[in-house]
Amino acid sequence: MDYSTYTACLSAYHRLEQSDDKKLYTRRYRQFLLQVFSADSVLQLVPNAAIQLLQKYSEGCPPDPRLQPLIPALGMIFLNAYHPINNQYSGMAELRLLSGTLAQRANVVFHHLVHDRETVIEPLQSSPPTLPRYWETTGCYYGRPAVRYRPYYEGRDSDKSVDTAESEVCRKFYSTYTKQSLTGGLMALWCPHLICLGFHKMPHAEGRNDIFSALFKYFEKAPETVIYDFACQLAPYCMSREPLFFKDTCFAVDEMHAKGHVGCSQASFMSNYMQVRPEVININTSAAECSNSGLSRIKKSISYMDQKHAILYTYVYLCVWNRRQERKHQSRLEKELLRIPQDM
Amino acid sequence: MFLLDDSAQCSCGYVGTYDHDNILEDAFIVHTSTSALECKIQTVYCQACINTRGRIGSDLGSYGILNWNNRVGFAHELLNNYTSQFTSSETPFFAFHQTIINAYVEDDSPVSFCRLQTFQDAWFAFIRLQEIGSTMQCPICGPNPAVIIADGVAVSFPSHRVESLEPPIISSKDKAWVRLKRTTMKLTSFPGPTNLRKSVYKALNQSVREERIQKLNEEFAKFLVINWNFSY
Repeated sequence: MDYSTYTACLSAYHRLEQSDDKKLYTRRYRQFLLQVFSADSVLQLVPNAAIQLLQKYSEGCPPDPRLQPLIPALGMIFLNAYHPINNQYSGMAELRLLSGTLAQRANVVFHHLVHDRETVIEPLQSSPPTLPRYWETTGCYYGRPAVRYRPYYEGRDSDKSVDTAESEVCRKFYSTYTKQSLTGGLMALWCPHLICLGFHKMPHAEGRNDIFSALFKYFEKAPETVIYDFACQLAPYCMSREPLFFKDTCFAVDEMHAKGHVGCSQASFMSNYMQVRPEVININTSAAECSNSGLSRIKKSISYMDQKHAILYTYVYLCVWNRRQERKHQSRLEKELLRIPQDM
Repeated sequence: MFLLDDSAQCSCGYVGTYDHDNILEDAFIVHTSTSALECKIQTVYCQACINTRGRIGSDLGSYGILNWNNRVGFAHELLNNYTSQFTSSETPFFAFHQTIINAYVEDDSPVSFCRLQTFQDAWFAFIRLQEIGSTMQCPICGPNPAVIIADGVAVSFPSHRVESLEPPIISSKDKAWVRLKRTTMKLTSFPGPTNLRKSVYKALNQSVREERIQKLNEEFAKFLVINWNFSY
C-alpha cells in the first residue's frame, strides 16, 4: 500500500513546525493530522456527506463551504490558511493529495459496511404491535409505537455478551452499576430543550446497544447529532450494524465528558463541531446530565420498589418533568411575544 | 353522607343493579393533607360476589376523593401533593407519610393517618387512574429531533424483582436477522501498520515543540522503510 500522501502531509507539517515564520495554521494542521492518525474510524473524520466534496477538492476545486462543518479540522485549516488579498490558500498541495486518499478510503469503508452483509430474514414491513399501557410490563416507553424490529446481527451480537467492546482504545466503565444486586438503571433520551424523549429500564449495565436499539427501533429518521458520553465507541457500533440509517449522523462526546477520553481524537468531541457549526453552539450538551441529576431524586425510592412500581414511578416523574419543561418554554415564548411590540 | 349513585361499583368490577332495600350506612374516613374527615357512606352488598362480602360503593371521583375500600378514602389533593413533592425534591413515601402524621397530630385529627403501605398502594392505584401521560415529544424539535442526547443513570431497583423487562436491545431471529461478514479490514483513516499509526499519533501529541519535531524525525525513518518495501 502506498502511504506517500500521508508522508507528504507529515513532511509539510514538519516543515511548518521547523520554520521560524510561525504560521497560524500550523496548530490546525497538527490537529488535523492527529485525527488522521487516531484510532477513530475514517467515517468519524470523513462522514458520508463529505466524501464527494473532499474528492472534488482533491481534484483541484476550491474547498466547498459545506466541507467546513462536516470536517471541522480541515475547515479550521482553510479558515487560517486563506489569504483574502490574493484570494488563495497557502501550502495546500499536500493537503489536497491527502484529502483524495481520505475520500477514497472513507468511500471504500462505507461501501464495505453497506455491502458486506446478508439479510437472512427480512424485517416485517409492519411495525411491532404495541398494546396500550404495555410499557408498564416492559419498562420501555418512547411515547410512540416501535417503527421497526431490531434485527439480530449475526457475527456481531454474540449470545454471551451483546455489547462487548470492539475496540482496543477507549473503554468506559460503569462503576456505579457494578452492584450485582441492582438492575442496570435507566436509559433516557433527551432533546436539547430538556424534554425526555423516552426511556427504558435496563436489566443489566448500560451499553452502546441500548442507545443504538432505542434510536433504530423508535425513530423514523436517525438524528443529525447524537451526543453521548461514550460516543467515540457508539459511532462504530452503529455504523457497523446500520450504516445506511446512521450515514448522516454525527456522534459526539459532550463537553463535560470529553476530558476523560484520552484515546480518542478531537473528531469525536462536540467542542470540535462547535467551532464551525453555529447551530450547535447553543446546544446544551449536558442536558442529559442536568436531567439525570433530577432523576437522582427518585433513586432512593426506586431502589426499594418492585418492577411494576419502579416503572410507574419513573414514568410519572418523567411525565411531570416534561410537562414542567413545556410550561417553562411556553411562558418564555409568551414573554418574548409580549416584548416584540415594545421593541418595535 | 356519600349516597350511592350511578358511579357505584364493586371492587370485583360489578356495576349492575343492586337491592335498594339493603342499603347500609357505614363510617367513612377521608384522609386529606392536614386532617382526617369522618363521614358516612352508603354501601350495598354486591350480587356478583356476595360470598366474599363484596360491597358496592360510590366512586367519589366527582368529589375529588379516591374511594379506597368503602371505609377509607383519600383526597385527590393529598395524592397530588405527593406527586408534586417527589417530582420537586427527593421525597420517599416514608418521609411524606411521616410529614402527614405530624400534620394530623398538629391539627388534632380525630383519626390518625393510615399505614404507610396503604397510602403507597392508594397512590399507585390513583396514578393508574390519572391521565398523566406525555407524548415524549418536544414541541420545538418535533417527532424526529435533529439532536438527541443519550445518557444512562443508576436509577435501579433490586435485580431479584425483575419480572418482565423488555428493553429495545432484545432481538429475535424470527423477526429480523442480518448476517454481517467477519472482516479484518481496518476502519481507521490510516490503513498502515497499527504500531506505526500509534507512534506517529504519539509523536504528534507531544506537547513540547522540540520533542515533537525530534519524534517526527524518527517516524519519517519508519515511513521510508515501509515505502521502500512497497516500491520493491
